[in-house]
Amino acid sequence: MTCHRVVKWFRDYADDIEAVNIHYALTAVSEKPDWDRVRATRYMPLIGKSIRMKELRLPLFIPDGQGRPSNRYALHYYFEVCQGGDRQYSPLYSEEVVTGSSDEPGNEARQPCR
Amino acid sequence: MHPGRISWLGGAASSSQRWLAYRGSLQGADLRLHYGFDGWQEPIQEVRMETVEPGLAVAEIDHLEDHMALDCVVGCGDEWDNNGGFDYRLWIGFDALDAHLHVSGGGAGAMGIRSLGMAMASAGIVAGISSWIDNRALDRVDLSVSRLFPLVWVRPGDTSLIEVKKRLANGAVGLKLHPTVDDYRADDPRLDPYLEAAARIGCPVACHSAPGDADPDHIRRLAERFPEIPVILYHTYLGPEEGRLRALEHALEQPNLYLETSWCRWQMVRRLIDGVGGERIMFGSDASVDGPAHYHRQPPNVEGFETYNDGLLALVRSLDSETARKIMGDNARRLFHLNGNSHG
Repeated sequence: MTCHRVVKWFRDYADDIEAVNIHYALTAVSEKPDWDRVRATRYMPLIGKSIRMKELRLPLFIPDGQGRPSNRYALHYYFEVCQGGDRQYSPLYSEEVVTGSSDEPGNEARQPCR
Repeated sequence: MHPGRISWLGGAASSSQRWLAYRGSLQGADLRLHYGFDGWQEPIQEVRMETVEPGLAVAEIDHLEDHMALDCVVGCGDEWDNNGGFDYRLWIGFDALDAHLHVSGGGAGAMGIRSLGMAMASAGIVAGISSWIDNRALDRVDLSVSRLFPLVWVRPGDTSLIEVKKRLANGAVGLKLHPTVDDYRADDPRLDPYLEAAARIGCPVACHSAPGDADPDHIRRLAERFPEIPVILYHTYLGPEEGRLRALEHALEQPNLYLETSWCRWQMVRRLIDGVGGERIMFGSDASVDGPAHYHRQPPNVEGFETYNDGLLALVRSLDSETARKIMGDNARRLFHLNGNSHG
């Protein structure tokens, strides 16, 4: 396994929702993201009536506060909802991710995977 | 005041004198056109408009030969139609087409069809190529009203090939790829069936270009696999200048790569034209992600330094008239096969 998979769901709350994107960023635990520098944006496709799902493929390790690779980090994310020609944003959510990997990371393990 | 529509009424683009038509709600004996040239340069002038029939008034404008664009509003008594505060623009030497637009549906928000229409009128854009991340949203709006030509948004593994073929047969003029938000690399082999479908009917593919999955290096590999398909790098790399120049290098070496200029400052566009020639560059803006003020928002939205409306005046001024026509619409019309189309 070269990545850690996290699945996010979104339920459309109206009929005129035109698209939903998830914006996310990863940081060391307890740190805040610099959204201009580390943001990733993914479209959330409909997988059923009004239900959207996106599987985020996250790295196994990211640097902790001291720059050492850590398999425990924070995932920050929010949803951008396009509705009626406008964009609305959900609250910001943050959660801790533990990838469970104990292998010594190579460079590829620090990158979002395919 | 609901914005009207302003356009040239016949006459060759090279004429020094043309009739301008206003179709809108302002009416009356005092109807007049308040106008200036090339970004409201002095002297500002006014001319009385003649009513041809209810809802249609005209004015004859002279001395066009020394100018690039006419900026205007319509007045009647104390009332003004100024396109919702964004004014109207008409280009004099060409009919401008924006090769990169987005419309999300019929809503009143920034990316709805009304906002896009106001934005286009403020920049003298008479037609455009539009796409949306969910193809079905475009089904709910009448794109022909704003002279928009849709692309089919392709998400490999999700968009069905049958849907793509059906949309291409029903008026879509090309494919749109966005590797970044759809989470795949631009040279992903799963794209091949879609590009084979595009190749069969000879339509181009427009691909978001940016750092990461949408890097020009990946897009070039896709273009190499399908040398018969024009592949357009939307944004010519939405990132640092290094990537833009790398995109230019790829275009120089790979003849089916084309460069679209949204979010590029005009000097960069000029550099791209000088590098690869006037045939393979096309103007685009990403409107109206910034709403009806997209082309002249303050503070400026093109790299924080210039507005599209100001940058385009500088760009067109720097080009000969034939190259300006190509960049501002004719290249896109040729590539998307719009010449002769009723609303191209």
